[in-house]
Amino acid sequence: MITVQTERAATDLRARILAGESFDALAREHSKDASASDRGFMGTFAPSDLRQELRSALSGLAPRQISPVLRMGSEFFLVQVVDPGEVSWIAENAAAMASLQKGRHAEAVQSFSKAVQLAEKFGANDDRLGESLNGLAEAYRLQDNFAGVASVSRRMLSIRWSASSNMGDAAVADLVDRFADVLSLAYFRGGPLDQALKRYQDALIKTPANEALYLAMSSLLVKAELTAEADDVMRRAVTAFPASRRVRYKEAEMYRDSGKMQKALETFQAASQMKAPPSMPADLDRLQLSFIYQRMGGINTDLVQFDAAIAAYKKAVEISPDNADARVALGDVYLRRGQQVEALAEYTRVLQAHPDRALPHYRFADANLQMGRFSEAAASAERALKIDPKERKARYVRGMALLRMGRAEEGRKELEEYRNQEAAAQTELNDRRAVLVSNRGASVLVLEGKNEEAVAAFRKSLASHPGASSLRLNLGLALSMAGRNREAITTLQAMIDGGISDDFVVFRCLAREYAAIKDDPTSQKYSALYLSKIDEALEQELR
Amino acid sequence: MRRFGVIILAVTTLAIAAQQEAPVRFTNIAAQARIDFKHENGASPQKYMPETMSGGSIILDYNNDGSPDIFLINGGSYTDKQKAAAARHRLYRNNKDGTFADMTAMSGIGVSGYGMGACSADYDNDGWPDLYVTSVGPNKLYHNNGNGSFTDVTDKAGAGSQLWSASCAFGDIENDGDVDLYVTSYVDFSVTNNKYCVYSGEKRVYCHPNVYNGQPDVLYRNNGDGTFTDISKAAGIYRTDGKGLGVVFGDYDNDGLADIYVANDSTPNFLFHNKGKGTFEEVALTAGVAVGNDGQPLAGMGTDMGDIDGDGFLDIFVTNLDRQTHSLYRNLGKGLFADITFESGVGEATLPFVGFGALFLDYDNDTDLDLGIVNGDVIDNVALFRDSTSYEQRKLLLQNDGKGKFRDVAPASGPGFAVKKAGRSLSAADFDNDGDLDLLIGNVGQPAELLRNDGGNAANSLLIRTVGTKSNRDGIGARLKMTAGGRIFLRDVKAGSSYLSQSDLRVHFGLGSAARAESLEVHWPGGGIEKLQDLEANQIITITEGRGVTARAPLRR
Repeated sequence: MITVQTERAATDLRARILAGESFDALAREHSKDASASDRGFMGTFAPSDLRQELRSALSGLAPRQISPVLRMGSEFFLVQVVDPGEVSWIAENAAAMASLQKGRHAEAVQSFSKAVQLAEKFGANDDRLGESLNGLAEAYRLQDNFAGVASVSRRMLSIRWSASSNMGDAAVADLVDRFADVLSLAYFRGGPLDQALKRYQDALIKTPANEALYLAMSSLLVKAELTAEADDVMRRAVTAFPASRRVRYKEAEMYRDSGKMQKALETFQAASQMKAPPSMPADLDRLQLSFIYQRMGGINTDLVQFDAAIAAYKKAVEISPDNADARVALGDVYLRRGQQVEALAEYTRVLQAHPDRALPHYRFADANLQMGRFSEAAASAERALKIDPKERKARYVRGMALLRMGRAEEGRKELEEYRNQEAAAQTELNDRRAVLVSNRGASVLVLEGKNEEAVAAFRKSLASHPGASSLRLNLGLALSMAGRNREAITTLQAMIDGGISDDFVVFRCLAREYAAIKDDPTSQKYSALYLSKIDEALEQELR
Repeated sequence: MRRFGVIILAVTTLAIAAQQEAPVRFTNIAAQARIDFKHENGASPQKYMPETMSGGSIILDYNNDGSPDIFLINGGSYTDKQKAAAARHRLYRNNKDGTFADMTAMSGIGVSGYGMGACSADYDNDGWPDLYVTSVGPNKLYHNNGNGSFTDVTDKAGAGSQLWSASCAFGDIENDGDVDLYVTSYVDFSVTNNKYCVYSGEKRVYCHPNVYNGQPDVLYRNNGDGTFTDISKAAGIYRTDGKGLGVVFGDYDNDGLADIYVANDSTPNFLFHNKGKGTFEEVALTAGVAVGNDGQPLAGMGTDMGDIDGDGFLDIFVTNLDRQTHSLYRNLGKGLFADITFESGVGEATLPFVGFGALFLDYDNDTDLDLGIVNGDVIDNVALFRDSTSYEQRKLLLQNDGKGKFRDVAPASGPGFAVKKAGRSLSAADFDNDGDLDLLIGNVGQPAELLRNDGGNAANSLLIRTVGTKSNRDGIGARLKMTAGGRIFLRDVKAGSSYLSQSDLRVHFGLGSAARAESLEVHWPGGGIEKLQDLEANQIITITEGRGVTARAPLRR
C-alpha cells in the first residue's frame, strides 16, 4: 500500500507504476504509511479483516495489478495484491534482516540464502534479488566469511553489469577482474600490461556487457591514459547499442578528451540527431540535447570556427534556456570575436537567472575591462570573489581594473594576492606533472628489467611526493614483479591503512599478493573489498 | 565585335583579381641564394628537449660592406657523436648579387654544445660587430677580428653562461656608451636528468617545460675593457621562477632608459623596468603584460616591441601555444598596457598556431607596423594524438590596418608563406637593399628559408644606419622618430628580439606614398638628440652621432 496526502500525488504515482516503475521502490520513497520501510507491505489478511473500501478496491485485482486511486478520510491510497511467491520472500527476507539486527549472523546467512532462492524466481535483474544478495553479503562479512562475501559480490557484479542476453553470467565478473588488472598495470605497457590486455580483450570478445559497463570502463581507461583501449571499448559499445544517444555522447566526449576534435565534433553531431529512449522525461531529454550542442560549441571554439560555435551555443540555449554554462560560453565566443556588447548581453542574462554564481560575474567583469569600463569591471569582479574567493582570474581582472582606475595601491594588493594564488595552483599542477613523469620514468626501468633501479627511483620520487598514490601503487607492483611479495604487501597495505588510497586497484593487487604468500583468508578479505569497491567505482563513472 | 567584348571583359576581370590579390609576395630563395644550411636537431627516441627548441638565425653585417650577412646556429645530437661534431654554425656573406657565400671555414667559429641562438653587437666599439652564441651548455662570445675571422674570447670576457640559454639581446642599460648583454635561461634539463613524458599513455613526446625547474636569466654589464660582469643579482633581474625563451630591449615608458621584456615559457613574463644606475624592477604583472587576458600564464616563446598605433609608445607582442593565442599588449602610457589580443584580430588569427619567432615590421611600406610570425608545434608526433593540428605549420603575416586591427594576409602573400614548416626563428633585413624587408627563417631540423620580398617597395621607404660616437658604436638603443606625410613614426635600433633571432641593425621606415620624410629625430642612448630635415625617400642613410648624415646610397628599386 502507498499512502499519500493528495490525489494528484497518488495519480502521478499510479501513472509511474503503470509505466514500469517499481511499486516497492515508490512506496519506500513516497508512502507516508509506517509500512513504507517494508516497501509498503502490510502483511497477509483475510478479506473480512479489511475495511469495505479496501475490499472493493482489491476485488478483481490480479496479483501485482494496481488499484485505482482510493480515498479514505483525508488521505489517498494505492494498493496492490502481492503475489503468493512474493509473500514468502518478504517473510524470509524480513526474518533475515531481524536476525542480522540481533547479531545472529549464522541465522541471517541461512535466511538470506533462502530469500535469495525465492527471489531468483523474480528474475536475475530484480531488485528484490539484489536486496537479498546484499543482505547475504553483509551477513557473511559480519562472520568474517570473506569467501562467502566474495562469492555473493561476484554474483551481484555479474547481475548489475551484464547485458540482457547474458543476465547474471559469471563471466561478466571475470571481465571486470581483467579490466581491473589492466588498469593496475597502466604504466607497464610493453611488458605485463600487454599480457593483461590480451586477457582483457579475450574476455571482451566473449562476454557481452551492458551499456553502462562499456561506458564506465571506457571512461576509466581514458583516465588511465590507455586511449587506444578506451577507444576499442567504446567501439564495442557503439556496435552493441547503435541507437543509444548516451553511448554516442560518451564516445564524443572520449574523442574530445583525447584530442581528436574533428571526430568528437562529428560524433556529437550524430548524437544530436538521435532520439532519447521513450522512458526519458521530456525535460531531461531537452537538457541532454542542450549539452550536446554546448559541447559542439566548445569544440568549434577550439577549432576557431566561431560562426559554428555561436550557432551551436545558440541552439543549446534555445533548447534549454536555463543552460547557464552554454550562455556564458556563447558570451565568451562573442568576446573573442570582439563583439563585446553581445557578450555582455549574454552574461547579463545569466546573471539575472543566477546571481549567486561566480563565473558569470567574473566574465561580466572581464568584458567590461576590455571595454574600458573599469568601475563596472572592478565591482563585478568583486562580486565574483565574494561568492568564490578562490576565483583567481576574477582577482586578476579586479586588480587590473583598479590599476586602470588609478587606485594603484589596491590594484597592486589584489594582483599580489592573485600572484600568490596562481603560484600555489601552479605548484600543485607541477607536482602532479612531476608524479606522472616520475611514474613513467621508473616504470620504464621495470620494463627494461632494471628492477632495483626502478624501486630506488620510485622511492626517491615518493620522498618528494609522499601522498602520490600512483607512485606507491607502482612501487608495490615493481616489488611484486621482482618477487618481493612481502615488501609489496607492506607498500600496498600502507596505502589503505594510511588513508592514502581506497582505490579498488589497490585492493585487487593486495588480494593477489596475499594469495602469492599463501595467506588465503586475507587474500579473500581483500578480494571481497575489491569487488565492492570496483562496483562503486564503475557506478561513480556514470554520474 | 562580340569576341572583342569578351576579351575586354577577361582583361578587366584579371585586373580586378590582381588588385584584390595582395601586391606583396614572398618567395623562398634560399637554394638559389646558395644558403644550403639544414639545421641538425639530432631528433632521437629519447626526446631530449633541445631537439625541438633550437633553430636560431641572425642577421649582421660582419664585414661592414653595407649588405646584411647571415649567421645560422646549428643544434647537434645527444646520441650521435658524428652528427654532433658535424653540426657547425654557418656564416654566410652577402655577395650583393642575390647569392651568399659560406664563410664558415675562415670564420673560426667552432662547434660547442648544442646551439640555440645568437645576437650581435660591437661590444668593444672597435667598428666590427661581434657575436654571442647561446647553447645548451657553455655560451660563446666571439670577437670579430675585422678580417672575416672571429676569436673565441668567452673566458677572457667572463660571459660564458653554462645554463641552457635561449635568446639573447644587447642593449645599453646605463647609457654609458657600450652595450650590455641579456641572456635568457630556460630550464634545468640535462641528458642525465631527461624526463620521460608521454601523451595518451602511449607515445613518448617532448616534455612540457613544467616538469623541469626554471633557470635564472643573466645580465652582463659591459665593463668597457673587453670584459663583462654578471650583475643579475645586483641589477634585480635574478629570478628563479622564469623559463626565459625570448627577450627584447625597449624603452617602453620613454624615460630614456632601456627596459627589458622577457617571454617566459608557461610562467608569467617579465618586464624589467630600468630604474637607472643599472638597476631594474620587475613590473610585468602590474603593467598588464605578464599573463593572458584572463590572468592565465601562457607559453611565451618569441617577443618583440614596436609602436603599432603611432602613439609614441612601444607595444609588446608575444607568441604562445595553440589554443592560447599569441598576445598583443597596447601601451597606454603611465606604465600600463591593455591586452588587445582579441579586439585587434590577433587572437582569432593566432589561436590555431604554436608561435615562435615574431617581428614587428612594415612589410608593405605603408607606414604602420605589421606582424610576421613563424609557427611550428613543439611535439613532433602531435598528429598521432590530435587531429586538428600538425607539427609543421604555416607562417602568419598580420597586416596592420593602421587603426589597431590586424588581418592575416599570409595566404595571399606568395609561396613563401604557404609552406608549412617547423618554424622557430625569424629575422628581417633588406638583403638586396631594394627598399623592402626580406625574411630569414630558421626551422628546427629543416633547411633555413630566405624569403625575398617582391612588391613591398612599390611604396617608399628609408633605411637608416646609426653610428654612435659617444653612444655605443652601432647606436643600439637609439630611438628614431620620423615625420612623414604629417605622421610621426617611431622605431628603435634593436640588437636581438623575436626568438633566437636578431634582425638587421639598420632601421627600416615604410613611408607609403610620401616622397620624403619631413624630419627625423635621433635620440641617442648617450643622451644627445640629433634632428635632420627633409630626407628624400628610397635611400640608405648613415647617421653618425654628432655629425648628421655621413653617407647615403640609393635603394636598388
